[in-house]
Amino acid sequence: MKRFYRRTGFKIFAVVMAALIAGSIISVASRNGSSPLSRVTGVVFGPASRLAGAVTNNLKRLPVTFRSSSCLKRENAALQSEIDSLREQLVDYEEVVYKNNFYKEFLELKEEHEDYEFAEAAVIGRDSADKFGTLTLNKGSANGISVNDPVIYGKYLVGVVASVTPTQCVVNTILNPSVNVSAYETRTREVSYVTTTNELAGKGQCTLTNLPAQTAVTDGGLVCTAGVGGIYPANLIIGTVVDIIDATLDISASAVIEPGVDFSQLTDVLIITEFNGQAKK
Amino acid sequence: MTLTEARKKQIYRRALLAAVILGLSLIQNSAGRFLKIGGVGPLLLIPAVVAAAMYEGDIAGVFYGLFAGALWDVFARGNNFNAIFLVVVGFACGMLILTIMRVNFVTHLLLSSCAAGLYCIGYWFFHFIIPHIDRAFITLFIFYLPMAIFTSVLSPLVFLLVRAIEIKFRTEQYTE
Repeated sequence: MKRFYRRTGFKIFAVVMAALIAGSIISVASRNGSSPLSRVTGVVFGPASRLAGAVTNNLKRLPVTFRSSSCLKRENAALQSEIDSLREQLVDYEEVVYKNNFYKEFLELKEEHEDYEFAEAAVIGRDSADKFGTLTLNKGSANGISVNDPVIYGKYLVGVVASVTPTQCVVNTILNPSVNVSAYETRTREVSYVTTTNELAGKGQCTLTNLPAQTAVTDGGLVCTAGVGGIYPANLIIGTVVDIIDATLDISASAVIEPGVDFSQLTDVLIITEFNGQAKK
Repeated sequence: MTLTEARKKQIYRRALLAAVILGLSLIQNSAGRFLKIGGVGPLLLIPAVVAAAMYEGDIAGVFYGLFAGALWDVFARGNNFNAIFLVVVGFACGMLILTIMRVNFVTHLLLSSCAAGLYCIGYWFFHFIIPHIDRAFITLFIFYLPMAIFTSVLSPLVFLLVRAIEIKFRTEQYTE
């Protein structure tokens, strides 16, 4: 056993493990939620991550090329290539329409809330091991992003920044049970908080929980952020009420909410870096 | 073969293995639904580190584990969780090959499956059992165990890729 401990391999292993554990402790103690190793790796391999993100986000273009090469026949080659060209133009057009809508909503939001400071970001990765769909964005502390900055798509709340490196950040969506958002239902003005459970998250839903048993909230109600706590600004849309659940074990009720955004399809988002009433960073 | 050539081959081989790990990291944590079935994707970095450690030994295994884990942690919320796990896997696999196991397809499948199973159960335990998330056991059976199985199914491809690099840049020290 002594020989094992004296081996160079074991000594290197022990040193690396000690450094990693120290890094973990530093990340827990620091405000940005990421270890020194993650920060360095994020900076060095950030461009590769962005490239991979761009490629995978544009994979929908590939079937056009494959289809054209597999179905190409001699007699209609010219016609087929024209169709392919038009299809590609259509994909480009849809991309432009998508971007246009994205910026239109951004502009409306900016006009409504002049106090908001934004950073536009692209989704470049998702942690495979995380069931709740953590997003990795291509903006980090170098762009003014910090932990607990809210992330939106148009007027809809997506989630909150959980950790930051200089060039990237990781976002917990509202479909993560660890995320809690103070919220209200717009018609009844009943205030509570939105969170989710593993079961609801699997269906892509969250819940406005802890409502009074005789709640006036009904299906179709719109749930928005209340702005309490200083992490999320008020009046960002979270989603629409699709069901009311009367609690059997206590006196409260809860409303099941369908978020306004399909988080699995997100490619671009906005990070709110500053707003009136934001808690001190 | 001169020593310089052997050294050159070793550098090429190790650089190529690092490139493979970088590529697999980007595939594994890509933004799209590439290689995902029902939302479940394979953890390709685990068989890659196992294969690299099997061929290159425990010391290189530690560094490949560190590299792969650092890349993975960029996409994850954890703080060095993946790096710590893959360093342990790299070191353990390298040690097992040096002492009691041989480098072959079956050994790689066995070690990769064990490592993937251990990772998935560990991740599930820390992220579902400790925080008391509801339906934790169902999640284990519908998400994390299929993920480990998916990883095991694809691990031979990773082994063949690493093996091809090792054979192409074989040096005298190398034995299979």
